[in-house]
Amino acid sequence: MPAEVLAQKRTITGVVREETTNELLPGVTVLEKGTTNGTITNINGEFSINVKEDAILVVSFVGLEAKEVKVGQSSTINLSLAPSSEQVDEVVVTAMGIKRETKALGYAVQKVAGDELVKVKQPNLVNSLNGKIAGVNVTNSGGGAGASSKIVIRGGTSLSGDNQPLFVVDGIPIDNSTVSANTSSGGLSATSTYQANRGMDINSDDIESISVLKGPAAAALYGLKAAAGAIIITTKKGESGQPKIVLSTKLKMEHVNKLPEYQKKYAQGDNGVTGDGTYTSWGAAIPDGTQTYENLEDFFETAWSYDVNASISGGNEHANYYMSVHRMDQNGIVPTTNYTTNSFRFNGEQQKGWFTVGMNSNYIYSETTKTLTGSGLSGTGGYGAIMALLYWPVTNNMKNWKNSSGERIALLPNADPEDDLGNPYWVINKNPITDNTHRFIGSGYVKMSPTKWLDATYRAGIDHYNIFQRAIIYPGSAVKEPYVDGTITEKEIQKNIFTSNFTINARQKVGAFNLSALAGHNYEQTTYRKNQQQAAGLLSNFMSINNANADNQTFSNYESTKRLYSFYGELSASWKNMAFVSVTGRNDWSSTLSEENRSFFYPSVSGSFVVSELFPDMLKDKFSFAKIRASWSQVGKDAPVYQTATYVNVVSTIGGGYKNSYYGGNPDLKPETTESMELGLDMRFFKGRLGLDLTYYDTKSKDQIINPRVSMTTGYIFQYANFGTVTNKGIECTLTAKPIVKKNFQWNTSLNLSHNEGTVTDIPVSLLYVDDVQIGPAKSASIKNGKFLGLTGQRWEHSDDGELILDADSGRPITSTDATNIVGNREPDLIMGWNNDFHYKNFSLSLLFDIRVGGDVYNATETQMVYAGTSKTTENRGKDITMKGVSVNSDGEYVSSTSTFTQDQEYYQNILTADASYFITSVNWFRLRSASLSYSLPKALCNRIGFVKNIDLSLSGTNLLLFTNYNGVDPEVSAGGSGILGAGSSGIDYAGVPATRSVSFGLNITF
Amino acid sequence: MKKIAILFTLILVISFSFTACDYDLDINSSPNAAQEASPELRLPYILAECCDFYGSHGTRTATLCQQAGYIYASAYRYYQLENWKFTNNADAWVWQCWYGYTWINIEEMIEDATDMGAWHYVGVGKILTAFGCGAIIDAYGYMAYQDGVNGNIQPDYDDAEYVYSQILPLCDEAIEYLQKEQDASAVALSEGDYVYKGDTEKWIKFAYAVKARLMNHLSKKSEGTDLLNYNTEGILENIDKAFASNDDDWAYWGEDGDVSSRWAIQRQNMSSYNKPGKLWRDYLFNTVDTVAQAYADESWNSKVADPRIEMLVPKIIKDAVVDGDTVEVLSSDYSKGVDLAYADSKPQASDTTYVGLKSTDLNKLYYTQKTSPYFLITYSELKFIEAEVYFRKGQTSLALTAYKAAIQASMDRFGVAANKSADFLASAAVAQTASELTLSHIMIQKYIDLTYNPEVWTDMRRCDYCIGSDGTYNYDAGVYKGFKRPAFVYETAFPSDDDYIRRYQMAYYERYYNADKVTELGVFENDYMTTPVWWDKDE
Repeated sequence: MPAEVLAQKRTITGVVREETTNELLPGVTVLEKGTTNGTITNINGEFSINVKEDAILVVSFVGLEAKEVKVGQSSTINLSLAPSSEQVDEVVVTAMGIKRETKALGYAVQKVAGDELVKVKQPNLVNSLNGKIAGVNVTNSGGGAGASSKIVIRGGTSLSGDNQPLFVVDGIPIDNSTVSANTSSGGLSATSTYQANRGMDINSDDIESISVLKGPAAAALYGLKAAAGAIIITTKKGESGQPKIVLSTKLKMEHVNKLPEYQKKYAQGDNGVTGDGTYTSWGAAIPDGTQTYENLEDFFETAWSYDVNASISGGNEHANYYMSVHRMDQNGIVPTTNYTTNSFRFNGEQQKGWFTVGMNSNYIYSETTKTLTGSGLSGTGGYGAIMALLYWPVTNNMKNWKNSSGERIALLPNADPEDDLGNPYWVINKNPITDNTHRFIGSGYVKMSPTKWLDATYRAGIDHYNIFQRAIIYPGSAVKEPYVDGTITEKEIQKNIFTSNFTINARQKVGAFNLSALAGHNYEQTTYRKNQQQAAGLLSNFMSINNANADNQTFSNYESTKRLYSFYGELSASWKNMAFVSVTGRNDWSSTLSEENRSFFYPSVSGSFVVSELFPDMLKDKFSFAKIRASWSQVGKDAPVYQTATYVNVVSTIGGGYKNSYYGGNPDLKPETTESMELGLDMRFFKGRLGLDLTYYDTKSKDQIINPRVSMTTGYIFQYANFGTVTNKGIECTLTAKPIVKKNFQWNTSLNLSHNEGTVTDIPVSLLYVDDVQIGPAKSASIKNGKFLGLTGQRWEHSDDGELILDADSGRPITSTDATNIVGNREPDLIMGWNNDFHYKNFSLSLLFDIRVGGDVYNATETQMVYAGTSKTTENRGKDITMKGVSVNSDGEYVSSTSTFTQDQEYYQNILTADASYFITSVNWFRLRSASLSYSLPKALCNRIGFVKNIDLSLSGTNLLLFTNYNGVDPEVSAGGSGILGAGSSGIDYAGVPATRSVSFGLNITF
Repeated sequence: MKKIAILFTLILVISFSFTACDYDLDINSSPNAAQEASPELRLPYILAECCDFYGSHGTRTATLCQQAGYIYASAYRYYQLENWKFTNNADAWVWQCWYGYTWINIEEMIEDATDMGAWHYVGVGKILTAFGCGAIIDAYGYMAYQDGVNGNIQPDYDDAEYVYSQILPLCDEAIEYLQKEQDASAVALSEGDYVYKGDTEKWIKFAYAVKARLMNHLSKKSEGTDLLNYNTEGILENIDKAFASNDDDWAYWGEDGDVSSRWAIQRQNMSSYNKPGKLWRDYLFNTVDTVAQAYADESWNSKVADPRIEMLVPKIIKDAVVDGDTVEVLSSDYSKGVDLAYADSKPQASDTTYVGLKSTDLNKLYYTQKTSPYFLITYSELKFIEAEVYFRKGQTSLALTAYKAAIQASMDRFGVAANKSADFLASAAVAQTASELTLSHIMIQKYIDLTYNPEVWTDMRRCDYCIGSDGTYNYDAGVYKGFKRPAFVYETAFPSDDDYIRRYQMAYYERYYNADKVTELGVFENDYMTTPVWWDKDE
C-alpha cells in the first residue's frame, strides 16, 4: 500500500451558510486543497469529507467569495460565505438560454436581477428597465393606466419596422407588439388613445433575471427577429428545501406630474369678441369678478392602485416548482380609466436519470378602460378628452356636461354637434374604450444529458392572446352624422406564435483548449386574426352592435400566417480561460419573401481576451481584471406579410366593386441586412470595488424593407421598397463602484451612460416620411445623409444670409408653406442612469437618477393651445412685439429692418404656429426616476412570530423630482406610443395623458 | 455508447415533431383581399371617385371664386381658402383622389379590359383620363402625366402645354374605342356603368363634350386649327357631336341612407359653416352694385331675382309659436352672403342671418342633399361655350341664341317652372339683343349655372377675373363684375393689387415626398400661385 493511504484520515462535517442572509447553502463545493478530493453540500447546507490531518478546505460557490479553512482540532466546521465583491465570473444568460461567464463573451450583455425590478415595481415591465442598462432608451408614452412604453437598444435600425428588441421568455419568443396603434383600423388612430405594448403582461415578480443582448452579435442565434437586440427573460424556479411562500402587496398613489400652463385672462370668443360661436378663447378680457374655472387642474384625479402577488416554490434535488398568482388594480389619473391585470404561473421541472423535463406556463387576463385622448375616433370629427380639455375656455364650467335628462350640454349652442367641442367629462363617461386580453404563454422542454460532453434540448412553446376592444360613441356626442346617433366599434384580435426549437450541444477539452459546438433547428409560425365590426347611427341609446340598420353595420376580417424556419450553429473555443473565440451561422427561410429571395445566411464572429491573466500578482491587487472584446456580425431580416403583391379592396360607394389598395406591392423585395461591429473593454480595480466597461459599436442596416409615404402620383400612399441604410454609432459606458463595504453599511453605485447617433443614407428622396405623426407645423422624418430621428417643418422665411424676413407693410414675419425644413433631431446626445443602493443594517435605500442631455422635443400640444388661445403664451395678446430682420425696400433689395407690431389672434394662429422652431426645445432633464426605502424586520422578531421567515416593508416612489428646461408637460413623451414604427413618435408631445408621479407602500412577507 | 444511441433515437423521434410542423412557405398571398378585379367591378368606383375628386375640387374653387364663404375661423381650411391661402393641405384631397383613387384604377381597368377585348371600358377609361388629367393640369399647372401611376416614386412633372398635347388626342382615341365592337366574351359596359347604363352613344357625346371644353380653354392662344391653337370651328364641331339635351348630362346622383360615401359629393363636403358668398348671391339677385347704384341699367344690377335662388340659397330660420310650442320655421328672407371686402371676424357661427349651404329639413337645397346630383359636364355648359365662341368670333346673334338656350337648359335642369324661366329670360337680367350681349352676360350666367364646378375658376382665369389692362381691379373693363381680391388675401403670396390666384399650390404630397423635383418648379417661391398656367398666358 502506498504510504499516503496510510496517513491518518479524519472526517470533517459542517454547515455552510450565506453570510448576509444566513441561509443554508446547498451545492457548495468543498475541496481538499491540492487534491481532487471533494464534495458538495446537501440540501441543508451540510457536508462531510474525509481529509488528511492539517488539510486545508477550499469552500467555494458561484457568486460568493471562496474561503480557505485550515482543519483544526474540531471535526466540525461551520462557516459562512460572503457575496463576492469580484463579479468577474458573473454568469449571464445569452442567446438560446446558454449560460456563459461574462468574461467569455465577445460582446456586451447586461443583466438585471429580478429583485431590482420589483424594488419599485412598475405596472409595465419595460419601464422597469429604464436607466438600468447602458444603451437602452425607454420612452413611456404617458401617464395613462395601461399605456405602452417603447424600448430601443442602440438607436433604431429600421426606417419603417419595429425597432424594439425581441422578447424571449424561458426560451420562447413572445409578442411585445402594440396592437393597432399606427393604423386607423377600428377608428383608433395613433393619436386617438394609448395602447398597451404586450410585454407588459409579464409579471415582474415572476422574473428571476433579465439579460439584455444589445447587439446583433449577442443575438445572432435568434436570427432575423433579433436584429434590434433581445431581452431574455428567465422566470423563477423553485429551490430545493422547505417550500417558500412569498406574499407581497403594494399600495400606490399617483398624481399628475406636470400640467401645461394656460391663460386665465381671456374669455371664449373670437377676435376680441366674447361669444359662444367658437370654442376658442380669443374673446375679450375677462371682467373682474367673473367666475372662472380650474377645468384642467380639477379634471385629473389622485389615482390609487393595489398590487398583490403570492408565490410558493420548493423542490428537492431532482424536482422543483414555482407557482404564483398576481393581481393589480390600477386606476388612472383620468377619471373612469383603469387597468387591471391577473396573472397565474406554474413552472415545474423534474429530473430522472439523464432526462430533465419541465414546463413553464403563464396565463394572464387583463382589462383596460381608456379614453380618447388627442383625436376622436377616425372619421367621426370628434375630439379626444385631453385635446378638448386643453381647448376648454376658462369661462365655462366644464363640469356642467349634461342636463337633467342626460343630454350633452353644448359648448357652442348654435353649432351642429360635429362643429362643437365635446366635453371631456362627456367623453370619459359616455365614450369609453375598453379592452380585455386573455393570454397564455407556455412552453415545455426536455433536456437530455447522456454524457458529460453531450446534451440536447427540445423545447416547444406557444404565445397566444385574444384581445377584445370596444369603443363607444354615445348618441348625442359632438361628432358627425351618422356617428352622432351612436356608434360602436368592436375589434377582436387573436395572435398566436408557435415555436419549436431543438439544440444539441457538445463540448470537449483538448489540452489547454475548451471546445464546444452547438447546432440547432428552429421553426416558428405566427398567425394573426382580426375581426372588426362597427355599427353607426344606432336606432336608440341601447348600446349594442345589433341596434342599427343593416346598412349601418360594417364588419371586416383580416388574417395572416407567417412561417419561418432556420438552422443555426455555433463553434466556440477558449484557451486557458484567457482567450475566447466564437463563430455562429444561421440560415433562415421565411414565407414573406419570394422563392428566390426567401433563404438567407448570415454569420457572426466574436472573441475576447483576458489581458489581466498576464498581469503579475502584484498588479492584480489594484488592477484586478482587464478584458478586451470584439465582434462582427450580420443579421438578415425578412418582410412583413403580404407585401409582395398589390391587392384590391372592396368599396362602399354606389355600385360597390373594388379599388386598388393604397399600399403598392413589390414582388422583388429582398431581405434586409444589419451588419454590426462592436469593440469593448472591461476593467475591474481593487478586487472589483471599481469597474469600468466601455463599448463602441457601429451598426449598419442596409436595403431596408420599407413602406414610405411616396409621391401621390404613384397612385399609392405607401410603396413597399428596398432602400435606405441606417447607421448607428455609439458608445456605452458602465461604471460600477462599491465605495463603502462595511459589515453594517454598504453603498453600491453604478452609472450607465450612452450616446448614439443614428443617420440615414442611400435613400432616393431627400426626406423620408415613414409613418405619419404630423400635428401642427412639424412632423417626424428621416433625413437623407442626416438624422434618423429628425423633425421637419415650416419656418418663417429667411434671407440667404439667414436673416428673418419681415413683411415691408405689416412688419410681420413671412410664413411659408414649405414644411420640409429640417427643424430638429429627437435623438438625445446623452442618456444616463445612475443607480445607488445603500444598505445600513436592516435598511436599504435605492435611488435611481435619470439624466438626459439634448434631444429635441416638439410641443405639438402647445401649437394646439396657441391656436385655441388657451396657451399661457397667448396672454401677451394685444401687446407689442419687436422683431429684427430684413425687409424688401422699393428697389427689391433686402435692408435691415426692425418692426413692432401687435400680437393678435391672426399672429398667433397663422404666423406663430407656422414656425415649428418656436415649439421645439432641446430638452435636458434630471429626474429622480425612482427611489425606495425598505426595512427588513429583525430575524429575532420574525422568529418570535414563528412561521415567518422575513418581513420587509418598503416605501417607494417614481418621478419624485424632475428638473427640466421643457415648458410643457413631462418631456418623456411619445404622441403615438410604442406602436409607431420606424423613427417613431418619441419626442412628440401631443395631447397625451400627462406623466405621473407616484408613491407606494409595500409589504413583503416570506414564510 | 448506449446512451448516445438512445439520444439519437430520441432525436429521431423529435424530428417527427418537426415534420409535423408545416414547412410550406408559399403562403404569402393574402387571404383577405383579391389581387384582381374585372373591369365592371372597377368602373363603379371610378365613376364615384371621378365625382369625388372633381366635386371636392369644386367645393374648393367655389370658395376661391366667392360662390361660398366661411364663418370666421382664421385657421380653418375653407376660411383660409377664401383668402387664397393654401395651408392645412387645403387642396390635398383633389390630388390624392385623382391619382390614388381614380387614375390608378382607370389604368388597371384599361389594362384588364384590353386583355379581354372589352373596348368600351377602354374607351370610358381613356375619356375619363382625359377629363381628369385635364382638370388636374388646369388647377395645378404641373402634373406627373408621363410618370403618373407608373411606379416611379420620384416622378418628373409635365406642364399644361405637354398635357394638353396628349389629352386632346386621347379624346379621339376614346371615341374610337367606344365605337368599336367588343369581343364576344367581353363584359358589357352596362354591367359597371352606373352613369349612362352602358349607352356608348352617350359616352361618345361625353367625349366630344370633354374635348370641346378642353379646346375652349385655349381661348388665350392664337386662333388656328393646330392642336394647341384656339380652334373655334373645331370647338363648334365637337359641341355639335356632343350633348343634345339635358338628358345627356353626365350626372351622378347621391343615394339616401346612412352610408356617407354614397351621398352627393357636396353633401359630404359641406358643413353648416359653409355660407353663401356675397358675389354669388349678388349675381343671383342681380344686385352687384349695392353701394353706388351707378350701374342700375346693367343686367346684374337689374334687381331681378333669379328663380334658381330657391334651389341654391338658404333662407334665414326664425322661431314661431305653433300650438304653444316654439318651433323653427323658415322666414321669407334669404341668407346674407359672406362679404370678402369686409369680413374678417364676421360672420361668427352665432350669426343666424348667415345660413349654411348644407341642406337641412327646412332648407332643402339643390346640390347639398344626400340625394342631390353632381355633374361633370352638362348640356347647358356646352351651350355657354358655344355662346362664348360665337361671341369671340363676333357672331353675336348666334351667341345670343346659344346664351339663351344655355340659360333655358340650366333653368330646366334646376326644375324651374316654365313660366318662371320664361319670365326670367324675358327680364332685364338677361341680354335681349345681340348688341346688348357682352362676355360678362355669358360668363356670369355660366358662373351661376356651374355653381360648385371647378370650370368656373378656369373661366375666371381665362377671362381675367374683373381685371383691367393694368392688371388691377376695374369694374368697367372686367368680365366678372364685382369680383375683388379678398380684403384679407394671403399677403405673402399675393402682395400687390395685381396679384390674383392663377393656380393651386402644388399638392403637399409632392412638396413633402418629392421635394427635390418640385423645388425646381418653384413651388416654394411666394409667386408660385400668381404664375399662370400655360393656357392662361396670352399668345
